[in-house]
Amino acid sequence: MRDLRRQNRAARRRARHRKGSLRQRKGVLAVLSASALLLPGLARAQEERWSVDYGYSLYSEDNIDSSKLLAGSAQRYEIDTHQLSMRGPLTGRLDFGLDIVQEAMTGATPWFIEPDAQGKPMVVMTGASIEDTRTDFLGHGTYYLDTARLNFASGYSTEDDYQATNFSFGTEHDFNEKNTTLSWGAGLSLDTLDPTPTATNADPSQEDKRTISLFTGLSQVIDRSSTFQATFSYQNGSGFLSDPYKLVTIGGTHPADSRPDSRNQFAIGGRYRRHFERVMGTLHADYRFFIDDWSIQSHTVELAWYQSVFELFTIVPSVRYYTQSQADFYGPYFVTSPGEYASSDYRLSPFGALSEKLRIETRVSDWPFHMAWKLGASYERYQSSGSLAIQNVDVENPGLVSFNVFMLNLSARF
Amino acid sequence: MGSPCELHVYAGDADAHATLAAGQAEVLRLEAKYSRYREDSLATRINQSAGDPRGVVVDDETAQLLDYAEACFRQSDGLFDISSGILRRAWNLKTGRLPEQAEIDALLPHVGWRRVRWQAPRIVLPRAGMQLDFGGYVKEYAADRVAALCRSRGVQHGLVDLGGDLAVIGPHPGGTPWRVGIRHPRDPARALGTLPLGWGGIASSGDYERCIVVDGVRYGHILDPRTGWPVRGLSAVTVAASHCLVAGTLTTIGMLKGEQGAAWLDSLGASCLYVTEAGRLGGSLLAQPIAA
Repeated sequence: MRDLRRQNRAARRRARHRKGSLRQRKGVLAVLSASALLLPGLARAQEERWSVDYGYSLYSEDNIDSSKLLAGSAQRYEIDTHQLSMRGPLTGRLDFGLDIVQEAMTGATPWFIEPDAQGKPMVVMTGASIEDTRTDFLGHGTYYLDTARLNFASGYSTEDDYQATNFSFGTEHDFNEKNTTLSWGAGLSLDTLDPTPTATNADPSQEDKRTISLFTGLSQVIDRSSTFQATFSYQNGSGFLSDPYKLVTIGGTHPADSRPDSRNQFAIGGRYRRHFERVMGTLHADYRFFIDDWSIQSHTVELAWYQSVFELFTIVPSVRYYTQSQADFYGPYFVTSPGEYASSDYRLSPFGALSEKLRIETRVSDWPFHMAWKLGASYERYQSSGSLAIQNVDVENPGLVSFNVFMLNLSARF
Repeated sequence: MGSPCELHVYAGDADAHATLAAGQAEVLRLEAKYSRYREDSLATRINQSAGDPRGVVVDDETAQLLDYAEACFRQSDGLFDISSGILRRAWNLKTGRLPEQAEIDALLPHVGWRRVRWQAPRIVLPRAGMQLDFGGYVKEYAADRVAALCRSRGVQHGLVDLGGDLAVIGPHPGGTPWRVGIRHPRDPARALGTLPLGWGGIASSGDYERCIVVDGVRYGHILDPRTGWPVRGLSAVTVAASHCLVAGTLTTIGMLKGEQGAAWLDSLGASCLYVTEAGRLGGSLLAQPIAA
């Protein structure tokens, strides 16, 4: 036994001396393991275990700048989120998962916008009293056929003033020797709003909203180290699509935010992945174009680099740019009535946004308790403004948001 | 498969007898398809086509096995070569004599995956006399297949043992890993230790399996496809990996690396244990809690 230990120490010393060749050699194991997964029947051998994930995130919006605040609390939303999920095989062909999310929200949000004496738009915030918790349950499953997968999910989400029930179904089908995957899916969400009474609306009525979404995507393996996916999605929302807690300013009066009762949204996107074996890194490059019949158009570009460090850590720096044009019934405030619909919601205003994110993840196998562990942490900084938009924005919405998100998660597979 | 095969499953998991029969049928199916000793096998049909420029069109499973062999060939700098089996004609270990260099030289032109034309779904062995040998990895693939088959039938706890190449179906009920004994290459009755294995696969290779000893020098059955001579450097290698197939390939490449095998295995990042010809023990599994 003493001999074993001595030889063991010697082996570790030798391994340290050879660190130079470490990177290249780890590639062999990765390539052969990936090649083995292409053989019929072997693909899921590693995944057929149960896993439990816990995640915590703290989302914190920046306080609103005093130069933009007319009245109300400067302190914007802070959301604490706890997420627990578990997934694993029920039978050889059927996986099942359950996610539970609990969010606690505090803080104020823009209520309406009022021009100051110079005509500059200023925000009137709600009081800081808003407190709400949301609980979300989602059950989902995947049924594995030899060259296809069927996905189905159903969820229920509840908070003080909002209930949503949703269902979705989709398939992924491999062909062309598994180099091409065609996927599609459909979803339905039925939501009920029960707005809490406010100063301007003492007895709000219950409202309904229905969302139908369709999705299709085509993934193609280009060569040994790169893939491309093209996606198309359509979403139709109908019913009450206004924000019951926002007002607009029309020539000194403050009627409720009012939006059309239907919205059709289309998006096309492309995702490119390329692995660079020599440096053990992978580039993710995504683009998405969005257009809807409220005349909003947007572009999203996201670049991420997944760097493996001695297969101990993965470090993922990423950057995302977003730009959108405004809805046709949007205005920071109105001097005369714009017609049937009017909203001053910053989310419908013209703006651009830039976010930077850093994520670090590490894995530990077989210890402790013979389980495989994964520990991750991330930080994201998001900033939006009129000047970041691709087009010229004359009047920036003063309610535009900037925020930080910290996230921690721990996952165990057994 | 020319060696004892065992399948351990916990009865009550599912219909154990039907599962055992299905596992056995899967092993026999692969043996019938890939054995070069059987007249009616696909391997024989491919080998009989050598020299025919039309080659043989193969099914998906075979295509993927050939793709895997190609990946191994590339990753091993040409050492793992399924066309090298023909060299065994010179190295008949039963006769106990060393071949003449001329015998080996006559075979070498028929060896080399680079000479094989493989473009799915067609495989062409351009030169008469060339041969492919799936025996170097189909046994490990079979172990993984049987394990996957058992899982797909609802078996959650079990172990597939095809002549020492192991694939875990799942740990013992309650999650206790299987304890796998690793033999000492010079003293098969003695275990080097036992290794806890909760998932994945493990495979071993060594010169204890088949060899001849001439003038005190041990010549093993693992032949370098470039020289036609048995490799020297390591006596035995055991690797644990996500699949028995990957473990088996890595043990073979480790042995084929000869004197560099120990260093290559150390730097691989895989769980392994090896014994050099000089008797030195090494590998990352030494750091694991091995009960000696």
